[in-house]
Amino acid sequence: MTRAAAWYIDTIEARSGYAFASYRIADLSDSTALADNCQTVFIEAPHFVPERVGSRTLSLGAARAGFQTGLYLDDGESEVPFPTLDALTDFVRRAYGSGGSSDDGGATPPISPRPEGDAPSGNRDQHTIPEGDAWKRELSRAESGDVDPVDTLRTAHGAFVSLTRKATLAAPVHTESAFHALQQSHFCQAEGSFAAHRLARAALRLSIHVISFPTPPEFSESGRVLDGSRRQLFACISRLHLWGSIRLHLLADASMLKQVVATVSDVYDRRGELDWLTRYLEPGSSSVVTDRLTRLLQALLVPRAFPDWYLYEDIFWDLPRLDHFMAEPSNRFADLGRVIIPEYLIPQDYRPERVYPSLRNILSFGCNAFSQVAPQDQDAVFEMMLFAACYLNSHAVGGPHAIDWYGYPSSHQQASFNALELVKAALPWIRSNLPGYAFVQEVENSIAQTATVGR
Amino acid sequence: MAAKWKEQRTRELQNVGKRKSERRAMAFANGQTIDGIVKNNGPDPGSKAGGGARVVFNMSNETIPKFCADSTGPGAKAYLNTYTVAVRQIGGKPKNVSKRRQMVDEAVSKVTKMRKEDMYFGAVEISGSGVRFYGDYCLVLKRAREDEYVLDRNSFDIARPPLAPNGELDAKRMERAVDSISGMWKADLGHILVVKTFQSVPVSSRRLTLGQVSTVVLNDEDYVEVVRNGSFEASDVDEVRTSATESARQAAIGDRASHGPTPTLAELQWRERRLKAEIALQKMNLQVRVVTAPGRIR
Repeated sequence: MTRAAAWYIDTIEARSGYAFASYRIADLSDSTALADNCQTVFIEAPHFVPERVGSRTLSLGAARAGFQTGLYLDDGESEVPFPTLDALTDFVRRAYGSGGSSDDGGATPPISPRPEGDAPSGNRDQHTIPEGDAWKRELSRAESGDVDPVDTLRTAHGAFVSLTRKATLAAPVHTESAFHALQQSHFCQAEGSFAAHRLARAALRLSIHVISFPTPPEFSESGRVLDGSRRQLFACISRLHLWGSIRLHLLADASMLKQVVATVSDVYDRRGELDWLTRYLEPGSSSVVTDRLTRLLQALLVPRAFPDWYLYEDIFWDLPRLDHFMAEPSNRFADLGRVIIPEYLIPQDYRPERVYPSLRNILSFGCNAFSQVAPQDQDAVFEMMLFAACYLNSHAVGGPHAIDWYGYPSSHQQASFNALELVKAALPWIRSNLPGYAFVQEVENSIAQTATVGR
Repeated sequence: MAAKWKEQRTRELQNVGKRKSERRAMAFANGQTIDGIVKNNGPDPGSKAGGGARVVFNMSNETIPKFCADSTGPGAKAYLNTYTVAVRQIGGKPKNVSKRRQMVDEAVSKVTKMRKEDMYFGAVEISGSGVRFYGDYCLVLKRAREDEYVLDRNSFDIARPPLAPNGELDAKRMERAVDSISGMWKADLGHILVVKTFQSVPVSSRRLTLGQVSTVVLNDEDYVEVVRNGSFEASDVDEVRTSATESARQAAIGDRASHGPTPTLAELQWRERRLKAEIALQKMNLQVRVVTAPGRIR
């Protein structure tokens, strides 16, 4: 049988982002001398620009430095061919990125195991936010010209999955056509209401998760991690100016409101202060309740920062400055590594071992193992990806628009304007990190598999 | 083996010019300079000059924390070779091993009389940051063993022309090829580097500098290979080097992450892992130095 020439991986260290590739026939199992006329390139993180190397001996010698030899299909006999160097490079880039979904990042130390039945289990049934979408229908009626960024990501995901079905081993499909809706121009006419609600939902999901842990022992590693995660989340939400949007979302979304009340009630029940909470949330109008719940969330995330009267008063300007939380972040990516997320959002094999997954992990998972996002988790995963991407890109949006870090915007329009600016910067960035090619599912699985090796 | 490399050195020096000519005298002096660099002789008798020929292994930022973590405990084998490395395989598990690698390893094993499982392939480095294709951090070992085997090139060269003719590889021929390109650290390295330098640098009537020699010893893809018998761990490492290029990349990504344009996810991940690697190295009391690659430490 004639063996066709294509680009093949000679050696690869997927987690490190290194690969050597050659334009050749599938000859790794041969015992013939190496041909001198073979084009060989080296690809490396972080830029993934192939550069020519003079000799294939360098690439095969890499097997002694911990690289794996070749990339094989599941049958273990056939090497994976790539029709173009561009497609192969995209494979190496995505495999590297996918490895990030199981990184512990150095910023999320392990939390000691929680006693059975005494903490959120990461179990989907216990933790899923009800997806009641009455708020969405209502918003669609009121803002007919608006664009929902999560729907846009969902559409892109659907398009990508169908491209993986069209792809063949010899002909992966370029994804340009699948992601055009993620361009900034798509959001030119958008109102920003959906953007504000989606970011608020992400913030609420994360808040619910981190405050629902039982209080760990004082001065314990678990306590340090959990406290760090809560404070970091507070800082992220505040830097994105989302507290106003959170309050507005709670007004619009009864399911989410119920979930927040249930979580907060659990916390106060454990403290033996459920009566106080009932009295606190008693007063009539939903506007007051959502206002108080939002303040309560702030106080639960950073307990020592807010005086008791803050939970009742409608003034913010007398508050002690929280600038030490809000100073310009020195490393936004590391910040994301501190905010823990519900475990079930990343499949078990692809998330970190021994530590809780973080926003950083879900960004790596969602962008690089795009086709592996479970249909039932798409809302949550995409909302969190959006939140994380907005945080990374928030420097592009500029300073606050007359909102204190922890305060509310003066109007619904202002909250929407702020959120839209963030989403307009974040979505094109997400697009630039999504797959450049859709491969057959077997090759897509190999990309996701990088998260499982070497953990 | 010493005789073989000494003869080659003599031939190279004799080819430079006529007896008693200035060019040949300069060539001999340059040869002695290289000997001094290999032995790391300082300006005063018995002193060390800093630098000198070292055994190095490159490692990626992603693998450094594990190397550090595995470096504790007696008899730790933190650096893993292809036979001991944990499976980090993506895709299907190949049914057939790479025959070429097997044949190359067997040929090297026969000549060096080491078990394949005990062979660890490093490189000789003077003042640069090692073979950057194999990792962005260069671990410089404290000492080389006198009986360490040294090959004047990547041992995989025995599987391609001119050391191997086109067609099926021949095990006996490969052994002879290994024999022809190998020597021992103490007895032969100076000769090997003199031969390599004179084959690489145009002969002139000027003295060679440390930077020039360093550039020849390890230049881009071309390096002198060391076959170490046995693994090593963090306490065997003298220092860790990283190239100015990698450091500049890291700094640029950090700068863009703060002020925009936002780096890609892969760039952010890479930078974060480098920070984590350096924290792990610091915990092992290992200093990371930024060096220009492949010339002098500046």
